[in-house]
Amino acid sequence: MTKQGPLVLVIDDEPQMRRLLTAGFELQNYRILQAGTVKSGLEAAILHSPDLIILDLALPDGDGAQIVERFRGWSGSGVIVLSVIKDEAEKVRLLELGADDYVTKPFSMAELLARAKVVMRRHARAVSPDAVIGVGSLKVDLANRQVTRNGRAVQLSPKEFRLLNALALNQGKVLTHNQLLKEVWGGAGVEDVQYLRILVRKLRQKIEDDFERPAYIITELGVGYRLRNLEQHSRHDAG
Amino acid sequence: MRRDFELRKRLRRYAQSALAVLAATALAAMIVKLLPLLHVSTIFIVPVLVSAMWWGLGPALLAAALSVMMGTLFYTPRFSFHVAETADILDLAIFSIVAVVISRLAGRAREQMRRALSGEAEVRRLYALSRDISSAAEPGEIYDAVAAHLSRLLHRPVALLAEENGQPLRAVGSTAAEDIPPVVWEMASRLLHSHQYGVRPVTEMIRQDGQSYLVCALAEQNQPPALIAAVICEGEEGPSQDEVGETLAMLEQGSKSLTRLGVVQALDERRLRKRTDELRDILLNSVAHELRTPLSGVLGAATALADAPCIAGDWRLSNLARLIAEESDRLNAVIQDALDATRVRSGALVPRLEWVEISDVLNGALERSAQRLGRHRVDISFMSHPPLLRLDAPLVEQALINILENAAKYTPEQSVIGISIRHEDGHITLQIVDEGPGLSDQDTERMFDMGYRGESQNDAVLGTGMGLAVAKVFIEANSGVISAQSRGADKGTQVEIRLPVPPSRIIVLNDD
Repeated sequence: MTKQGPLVLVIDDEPQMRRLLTAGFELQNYRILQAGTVKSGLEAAILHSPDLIILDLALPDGDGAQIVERFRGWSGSGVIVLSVIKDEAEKVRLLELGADDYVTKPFSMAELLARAKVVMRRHARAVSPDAVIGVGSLKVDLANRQVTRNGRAVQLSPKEFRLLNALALNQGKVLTHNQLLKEVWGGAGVEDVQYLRILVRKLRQKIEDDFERPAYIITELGVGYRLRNLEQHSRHDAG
Repeated sequence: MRRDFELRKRLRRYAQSALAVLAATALAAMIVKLLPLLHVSTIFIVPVLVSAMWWGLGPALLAAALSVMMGTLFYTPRFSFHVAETADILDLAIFSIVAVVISRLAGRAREQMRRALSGEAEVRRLYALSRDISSAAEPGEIYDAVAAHLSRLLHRPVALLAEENGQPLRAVGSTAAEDIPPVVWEMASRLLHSHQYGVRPVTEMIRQDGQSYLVCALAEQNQPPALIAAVICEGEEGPSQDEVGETLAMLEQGSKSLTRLGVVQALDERRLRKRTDELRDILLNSVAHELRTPLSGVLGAATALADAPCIAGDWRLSNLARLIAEESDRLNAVIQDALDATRVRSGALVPRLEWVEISDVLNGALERSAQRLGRHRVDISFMSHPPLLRLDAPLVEQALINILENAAKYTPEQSVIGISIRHEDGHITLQIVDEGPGLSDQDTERMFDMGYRGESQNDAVLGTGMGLAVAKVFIEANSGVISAQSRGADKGTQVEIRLPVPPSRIIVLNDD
């Protein structure tokens, strides 16, 4: 354990869970802080500005979602929510509150570590709007609004580009249907996921190698989409 | 019969008037003998007044005419009918005016009195009815009370007709349906289905075979009448206007009570359902929490160990760590099955429909069951451009996972699991074909039943027998159909899922 490792705050009321997370993260050279309540969690977060908060929702003194809400916008800390309930609506709610990721228990340590790495990297250096995002054979040049696949330019319509742009700026993070509809259609009041599905289908046909089995734009059923980050394991790799 | 009675009553009144005039004449004759008065005619005002007050205009006019005639008897020459004098004409005029005015006044007073009395009686009857039905706990008691009060009011048999719980129109309560001829049924069902409910009270007389039937119904705005009364009348004579009005009032009271009862029942049910939902959620959450939290510790620790450098370097140790991880993963799947089954059994399954790509759902299912399908070859043939479906994607995904994992469980390693998607006659058809032992007839029939496990199947295979039952319910919750066939022993199983394609909408993306 080195002093220079990233700082992770674990907020969970189960001592066993804290032990597991502490051991798992320390094995990978992270530093760990622990808290068992909403109150002590908030205190520790404000005092130490951790790089990542791993948050269990069911806490003895309140709903963990409060912490997500408090940290929205002003903190450099990424937040990964742990929950025993596999519930898409809850997932959407937390993502829209500002959580970076949502992991359902039980999880594999490797998967959680991989997700933690993605979240922290995104928070450490937010994607600048002029970056070039790469995933597999796909390259997205955000500043010049150019997309290439295997080195060949791909022509995207304005809405397709806006969609890809939003996903690329948040590479690895799930954006909910609402968030994407807002990004692409702005305040035009388009609330119908059907539009989004059709736009995603058109985009996939242009940028995916096999659009029936997409490798870049990943569907999170009932929640939204994310652009795959190659460091991110797909779920079965992690098991 | 009723008319004869009326006629006799009227004749008696005229006779009484005539008698009154005779009495007045006798009185006048006596008075004239004792005191020689000039104007005996004033005495004749009395029978006119009496007739006007009690017996009405006709008898009063008769009394006036008779009085004038009798009055002439007292003038010279006495006792000779001679109506020529101006005074007699004046008398006749005055008597007639008195007769008209007084009979009008008296008639109005009598009518008011009658109305007040009958109004009071009506209120009393309605109150008695409302007292009887206010304590009714079920519709049957309301029907019986209304029918009893109606037949007491009308002195005739009454049948109540209603549509109950979506059942066709029928006689309700203890009223007999056999006395009602088809024409009345037709009339009643026309009232129910005319869709002109804004038209408020409807009363219709139907005459047939010397009998008549009064059909009464009262409809709320935009709602079919809750109760229809069929009054069985002997002969042509129906109830009076007042009685019909009161019948409608009773029907109204009955249907209001029925509405209230429905509302009360619905409220009770909703409250009970909410309480059950809360209890079930608490139970589900605690099961999920109590079992999954320790399981997370096991799985997390095992996977952390497997990746730790000193263990990853020794294949025997890393194998053991991986075994712990795999087994706890499987245990988790069993818990998921149990939770899903609880949801299914409790009827709490409310699909959240959204537009989805079927390929996204299938890919999600394949990814999540990749580990358990790892020893099989999965062969997928997509169709190009499948239409969007409206599904609860997580439910369909879970159903597919259960079917795929079931296929993997009962088929040899390295065998092929084939998946195909077709679009035909308004449906998307998903086929999952394996190369396993196939199905017995009993399997085909029962494989989607909760808790069923095939007899021929290897006992060493772990399973709860819930996976396919859950899959079936999840598919059906999405308006889909699931079925399974087998071409015989060792010729594999083919599971087919049909999901409806919603009517397509033209979507203009307004792009470029």
